Amino acid sequence: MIILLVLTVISIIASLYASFIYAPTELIMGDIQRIFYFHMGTVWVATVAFTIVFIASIMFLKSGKRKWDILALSSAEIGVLFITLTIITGSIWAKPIWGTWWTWDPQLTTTFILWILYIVYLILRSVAGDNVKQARFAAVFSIIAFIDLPLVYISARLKRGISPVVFGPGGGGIESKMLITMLITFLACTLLFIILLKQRILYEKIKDNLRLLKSRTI
Amino acid sequence: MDYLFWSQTIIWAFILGYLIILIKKSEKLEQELDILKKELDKKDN
Repeated sequence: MIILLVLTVISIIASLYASFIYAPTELIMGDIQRIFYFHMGTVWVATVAFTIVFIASIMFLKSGKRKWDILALSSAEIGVLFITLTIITGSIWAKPIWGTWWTWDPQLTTTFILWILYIVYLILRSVAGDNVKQARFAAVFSIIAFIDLPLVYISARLKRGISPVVFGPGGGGIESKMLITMLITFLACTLLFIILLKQRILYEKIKDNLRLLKSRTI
Repeated sequence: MDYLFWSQTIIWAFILGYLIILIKKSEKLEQELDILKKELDKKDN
């Protein structure tokens, strides 16, 4: 855990250095584009987190094992944290570029819906507590919520709004130094996600053990 | 440029802060768990 934490802190410092010193200034957008590396990193982590929630929820419904429920809950919480940061950093970028903090562009709207859906999932899951039936209901809800995730990506490509498309078909591409910066930031975000997920799962397991012991003492 | 750097650094610090809170909460629960285990052992004996 300590090694992972040290590696994470080093990669965060490397990401800051690459974003603000190593990467060249983008010609059209200027310095504000530098926030995009971190913005994309948070998008990446949220995508991974919600995919894990989707898989873990299916496994929980299939097996009924608590470990899958814990994984889904922990990953959803971190996913919501990162998608919130995606929205915040996106707004910081949008203000000088679009002249507004927010607009109901297809990609932004689907991202906002995704954010709301997983907040609802977290509320449902916290209300469920030990109740298996309600936990299963929350799992079904998270599986349905996942449908919105591919829509976020597809919406920017099929129904062109004002959100920029960088990668994939129709994307503008990226300069090599910018790509390296983005990969370093992805690495930092991924390491942070792994360490957060491990710790969140551990916390939930300890809570379970404590609940079990308390029920024995009564 | 400066405000961008500091806003990003604050966000990183915020996430690391969340991690530290998680670690501290886990440690606190673990201590509670240990105390409870000892109490149960005493009862059993």
